[in-house]
Amino acid sequence: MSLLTVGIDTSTFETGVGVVLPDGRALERFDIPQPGTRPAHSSATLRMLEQALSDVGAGFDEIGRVAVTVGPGSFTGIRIGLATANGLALAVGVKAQGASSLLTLLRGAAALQQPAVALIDARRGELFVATSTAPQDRFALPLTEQTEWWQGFPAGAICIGDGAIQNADVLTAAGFTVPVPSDSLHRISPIDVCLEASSWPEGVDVAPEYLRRPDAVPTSERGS
Amino acid sequence: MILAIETSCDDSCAAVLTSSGDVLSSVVGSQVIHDLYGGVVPEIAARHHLELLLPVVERALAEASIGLADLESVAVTQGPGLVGALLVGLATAKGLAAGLGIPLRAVDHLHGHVAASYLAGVPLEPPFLCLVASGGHTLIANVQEPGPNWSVVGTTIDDAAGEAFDKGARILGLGYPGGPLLEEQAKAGDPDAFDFPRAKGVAGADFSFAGLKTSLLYAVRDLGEADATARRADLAASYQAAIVDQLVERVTRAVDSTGVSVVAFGGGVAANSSARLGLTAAGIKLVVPPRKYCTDNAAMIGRASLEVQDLPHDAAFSLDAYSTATRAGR
Amino acid sequence: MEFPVDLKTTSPRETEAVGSELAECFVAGDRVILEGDLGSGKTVLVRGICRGLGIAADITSPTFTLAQRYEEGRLPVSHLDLYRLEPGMAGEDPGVLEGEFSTERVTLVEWPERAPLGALQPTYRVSLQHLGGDERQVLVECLS
Repeated sequence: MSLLTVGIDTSTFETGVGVVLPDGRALERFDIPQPGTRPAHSSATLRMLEQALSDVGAGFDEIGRVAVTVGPGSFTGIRIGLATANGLALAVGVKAQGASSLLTLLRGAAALQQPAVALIDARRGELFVATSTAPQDRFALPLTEQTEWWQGFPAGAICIGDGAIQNADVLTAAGFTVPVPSDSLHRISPIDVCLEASSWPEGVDVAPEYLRRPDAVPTSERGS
Repeated sequence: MILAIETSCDDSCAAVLTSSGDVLSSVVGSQVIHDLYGGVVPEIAARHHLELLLPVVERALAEASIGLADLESVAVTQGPGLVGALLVGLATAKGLAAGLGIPLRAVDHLHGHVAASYLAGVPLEPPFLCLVASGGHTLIANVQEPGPNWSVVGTTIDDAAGEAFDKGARILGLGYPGGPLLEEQAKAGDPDAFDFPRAKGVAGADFSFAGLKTSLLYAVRDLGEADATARRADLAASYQAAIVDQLVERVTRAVDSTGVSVVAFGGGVAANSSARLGLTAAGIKLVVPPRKYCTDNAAMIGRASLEVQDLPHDAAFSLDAYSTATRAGR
Repeated sequence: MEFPVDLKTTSPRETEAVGSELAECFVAGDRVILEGDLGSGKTVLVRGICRGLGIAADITSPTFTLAQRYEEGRLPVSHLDLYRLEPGMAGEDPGVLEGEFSTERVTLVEWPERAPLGALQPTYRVSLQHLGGDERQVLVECLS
């Protein structure tokens, strides 16, 4: 029996699961909540994964690697994703491997020969950001109308992720490329999660990458 | 074999039980913190379920000398509790059950406290009453049959009894957690020195401790700092007596109204010897599990899971946490 | 309701009624900080708010659980007590409480000073003061 890799992403509003087979075949599935409804991280992840496994003729007992996004993104989603991955991994006798949600997004744009900026909605007027030119610097960026918050982005970059969709007008006006919302570049691919997580250091437990405290905003930046 | 997981509040807990309910191991987070951090318990430890739960599960399996392949089901606390903590236990349990291909059972935390009564080492069968008194909960359950369908005879309408101990200790400047400190202080005091309220206005077997807390606050203020400190033992003894009297009175009322005479006592407050003595002195036939099964633990969740059904496959995967218990929901 | 509200109540029932009236002003995403000593009636006021939002459940103290949710009212409510946390929530897994602050909820916070500086972005502040016996001074300010 050749063992396969599963990928889980619950770091944004969406829930994504993927299966990568030893021969390179791969499949992924998403749950995309309707506007105004809650994410289905807790209820959908394992059901979708079971379906994805069944679609490739496999079952949970054929899992040999578990990959999961560690954030940044929804704190609650990340915790559900990591705990689910930990449980699955323990059951099949391996350690879960982590991947940054921002780096996974950038991986999806790596073939473009154009600098890319990954932007994930951090809510409360902030974005989580990473650029392909300095991917090790991942940070939370406050959105303000007074400042050109995009000024550190590489010139001519393509901007991807749910944060790019939400700010498409401003980013386009500033000279950046933002693909149409339906473009798969905006989506964290669970197959890419499997690839990205392969560089996770061996033996290290997965832990959340929150990038900030919950809702923390420096007092000086608060409105009155 | 059953693996049980409990993460409803501060502690990450796991236990292994046989399918007939014998506890083979019961591990709480503080035990593995020692292994992980080398003796010094850092502040970071509490509520870090994501980091602690896997080591806790692994230790529970090791102490029970079994492997994952020996497990036949996974039991997990669904609520009530802190949702952000519960969901870590739930997701881990779901992942384990899926990966191992075994059934999942969802357990109510309060059902766990009730089922802990069966771990007291004495023969016990329904019908019995169960006083659950902890920092987060205070209620009297009427257990007429095995299983989660016990009814609530009385419950607190404001603070929990364990919280009353802790807040009393805080008012008296005794530190935290205050329950044991207040009990220690009370040993040297006169329980009749101060007349604190017993929530006479609250009907039936319901509890109320908010007024008591305010009375202690006023007594301390009226005495002034120096006198309040000098009479700390008397204040502690009188305050504790008011809590215990209320517990005894409500349990007595519950016994009278239900006709059920055997009372099990669980939750952290069951560790208070004055409370146990008070109930026994009132003629209550008391069953108290060992302390480790009174405070939050996973063994009680595993024991309770013997009384609930396996979740259907889809329901297991979509299981969600809940925060609060409601009377109607019980 | 006109803010600030500054009045004296003479019984827990009256304090609860202030909460019920206040609840009518609330919209999703409101964050209310509750200040006042032990026993000053914070839980009573929260019970009033919950009743005003149509929540019938027993409203008990969240000191031990840290946060309790009530889902069945006009707006979902999270009732938090941060007393048991270290100042600035030091050492806490920040993800543990995140769900309580989601924008579709009303979040009521006791001991808000334990939260990181400026983290709560409250929309209302309620201050309760003992006046002796059952009398309380209730001050409600709108901060947004």
